[in-house]
Amino acid sequence: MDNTNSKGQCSTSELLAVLLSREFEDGEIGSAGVNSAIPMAAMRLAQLTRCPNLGIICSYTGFMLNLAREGECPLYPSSFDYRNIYGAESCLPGPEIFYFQRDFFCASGIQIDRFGNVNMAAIGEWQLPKFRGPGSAGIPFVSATANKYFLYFPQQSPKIFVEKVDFISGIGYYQGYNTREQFALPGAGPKKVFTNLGVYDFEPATKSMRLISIHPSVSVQVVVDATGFPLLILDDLSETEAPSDQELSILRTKVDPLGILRG
Amino acid sequence: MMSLPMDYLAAAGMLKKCVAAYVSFEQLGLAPNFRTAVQNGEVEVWECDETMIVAGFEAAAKGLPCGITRAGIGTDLLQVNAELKEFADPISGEKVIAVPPLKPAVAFLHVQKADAFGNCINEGPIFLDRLIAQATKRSGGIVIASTEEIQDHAATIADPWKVTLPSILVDAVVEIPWGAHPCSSNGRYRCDDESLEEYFAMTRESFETYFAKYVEGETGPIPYIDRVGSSRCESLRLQEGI
Repeated sequence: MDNTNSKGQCSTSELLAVLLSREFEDGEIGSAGVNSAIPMAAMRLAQLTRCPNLGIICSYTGFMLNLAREGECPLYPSSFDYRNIYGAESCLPGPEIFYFQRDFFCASGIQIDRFGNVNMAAIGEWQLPKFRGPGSAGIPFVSATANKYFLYFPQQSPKIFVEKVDFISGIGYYQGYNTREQFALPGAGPKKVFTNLGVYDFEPATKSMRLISIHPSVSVQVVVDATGFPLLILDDLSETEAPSDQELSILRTKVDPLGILRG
Repeated sequence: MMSLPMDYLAAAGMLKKCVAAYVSFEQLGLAPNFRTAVQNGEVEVWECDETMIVAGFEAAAKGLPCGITRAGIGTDLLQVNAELKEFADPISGEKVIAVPPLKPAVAFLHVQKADAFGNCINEGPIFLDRLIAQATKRSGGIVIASTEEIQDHAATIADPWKVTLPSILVDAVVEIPWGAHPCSSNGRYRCDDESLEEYFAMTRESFETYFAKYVEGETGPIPYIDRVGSSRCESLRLQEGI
């Protein structure tokens, strides 16, 4: 997969970080799990642009960051890297990170289906899988409890965007329509999905995934070909607003000076 | 979070059952030997969510018959893990999941300082380590702490607030400088990515090659860290404030 966007201005990881960062609101508390350089960068970028009071819970290490006030902490590849503590305001002890109600969460997976259910465990039969994934991590928890969550996939393909996931690790809109409601979960479900090709939401009535904007120079056909289920497409489909010079500049100089997202 | 212990055991054919919410090497890739072993049906996976691990350890630590979490409702975890039970909370009527107590027979924990009596200090995030120690001791298991350095008992007494694992939770202390290598140790040294990549490359071909180089072999019993080399270790040491 080409690691630059259509304009060649930034890598896919940088693009996803910028697009995610625009979704957060000042004062929210959000977090990202393990292996989360992209959403960690997105949250820091948001703090340094529109959301100076964004609270970040950094993975299981439980760091509460507020880098906008002072201090610098370069992005590291691992959200478990304890060097993330430098520049943080405090450090939460072990299990207490699960006490915090999250306004939002960001996650990825090995499969996602049209209703936003996510698989992290296994492809094929769970008992004897063709492919063993990393495990469900904290996705069952956050997909049930976070007020909303965002999903991102740097390499959209029909193998990842499937009609039905082989295993539900993260509960999305289940079988569509109002079927999530039977579980009486406090969280509202996935809000948007971001990939290297476009941005998606879930159509309000059917809760089926819907293309709402397409990245510059990507054709609808390319998106459809990279999707393994019938994709809804918003009538007035727009082109994704590319990262601005300001967003990219802050991302590269203050958030990710080591170039992790360009790696 | 590097899942080396799980992958070592899988590579050595010594892993029967895995109780973990996540087994991978983050940005470096999936755990190669663990993945193969599961795909070959050699390892039983206790599929779960992180909060189930916490709930299970909390139940064990408190001597309760189960812990509870909301995580897992609506997912397939309950389809494949028969020990997780959904029930309606008798107070509110809400659907929750009961998790059995997780009772380790032995816990291996790594700390930065410990004294001769087993009082340990985590100089940084403690993760679940104290909870694991509580769950293990309450269940009749053994807690073994490896430490970067030993400190005098007088230093412990001088600042007991710093002790994160009290001696009553610790059965044995082993002094092992660089004991977390190739992973990181809070405030001491960072993760050795190069070494982890070597582990990936070597064990993908043959675990025996790696085992011979770093654990056993014709050269006899040489400590692991001497095989890694002190200059390499020193290059991982953190500068102040980084």
